[in-house]
Amino acid sequence: MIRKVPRGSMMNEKPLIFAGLAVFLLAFSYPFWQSTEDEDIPQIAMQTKGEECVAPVEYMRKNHMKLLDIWRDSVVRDGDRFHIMPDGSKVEKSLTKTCLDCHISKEKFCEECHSFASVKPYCWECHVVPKIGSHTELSGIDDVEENKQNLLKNLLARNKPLAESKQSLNKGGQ
Amino acid sequence: MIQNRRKFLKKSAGLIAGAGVVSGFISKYATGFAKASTEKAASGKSIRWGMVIDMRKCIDGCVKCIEVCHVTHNVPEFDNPKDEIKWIWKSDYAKVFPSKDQQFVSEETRQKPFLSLCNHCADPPCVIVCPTGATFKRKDGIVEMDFHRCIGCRFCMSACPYGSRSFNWRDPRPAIENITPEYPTREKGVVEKCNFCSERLAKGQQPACVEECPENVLTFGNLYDKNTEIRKILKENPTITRKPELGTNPSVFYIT
Repeated sequence: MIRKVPRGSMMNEKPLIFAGLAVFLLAFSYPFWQSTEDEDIPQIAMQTKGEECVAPVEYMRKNHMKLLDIWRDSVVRDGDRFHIMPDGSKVEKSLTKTCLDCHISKEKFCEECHSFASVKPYCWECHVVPKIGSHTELSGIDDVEENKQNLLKNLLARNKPLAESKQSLNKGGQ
Repeated sequence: MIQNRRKFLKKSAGLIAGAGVVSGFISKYATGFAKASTEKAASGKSIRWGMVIDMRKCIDGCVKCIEVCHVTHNVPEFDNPKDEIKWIWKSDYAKVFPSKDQQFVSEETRQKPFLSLCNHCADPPCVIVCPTGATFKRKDGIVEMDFHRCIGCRFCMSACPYGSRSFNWRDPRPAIENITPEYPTREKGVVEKCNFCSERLAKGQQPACVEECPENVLTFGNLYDKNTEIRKILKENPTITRKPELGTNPSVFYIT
């Protein structure tokens, strides 16, 4: 059954509709007109070693993700691994070896801003976060010898008994 | 113009015949060109990296090349053989050379664990099937993987006739005892394989396995340069490649 709405009732709801609309617009546009205090924005920890960045600071603030993207493609796909600095010197196109060698703290340099802006790049799923300090103190580098020894044992165990595993060879693939 | 049925049929037949001739000519030209691009590439390009494995020198039970490769590239060690990730490994002769062209192979050779790795084929089937371009052939002949683009579809694994590719069924990080920070690890759901140490070549170094081998089993070099050690070895020794009948043109050669 269709209920008939009296014609005049729409007129009575007009102020209510406009009030609701105004509230919605206010709430919707809040992020645009509310003033952001400067102290709200995280200050990038400029705990740097070097003097100069790979590109002008203003460009890097806005476009570092684009630069990293370009670097990634040129290193992996074109094998072009070096970036020419404004002063003519060469640096490796590397987030871990170049960027974080200078801006030594990943927590302060990357994460503070990214968590503020709610950006979640997945660089670190694969790339290894360098420990604070120079290249020589990168994480795990002291343990390489020990690591090699352990690996050697495992590999010997896996690769040596080929004669024993002869029976199972016929089943396997390559 | 008066157009009757007879004239129309005549004209359309002529048109179709002409189109057929032209398209045939075009396709012939195109295939000729494609052939030239794979076979005669030597003239235009200056580098094709390759490797000779002299199995006569390889010691049974020595795994130094495997060890150094897997440490350098953060290759995980899983307990379950189904999860195994390998870039370079030793396998039985019968598995490495399953083709029937080698008859009456000596017992000694047959018993020897043969070194296997990605063949960096000149005509790589893995590159053809990759839907995202994650696997691609570099100008210097290296079949490289861009892990960023790999979606884990494993087409390349079924396309590779040599089993050179491994899939990360699990998160590899916990299975790497000590991470070498210079090289990234991989993610779960990504395929990986030997990259001919392209990151070391960029610095002018030999691949890690070649450098580490105490018996000089492995020789690495530019196949397009006639004056290299690798070409000298190829000239002086009879060599074989894996599954030559498939036409993949491997860049890894074996002396048995």
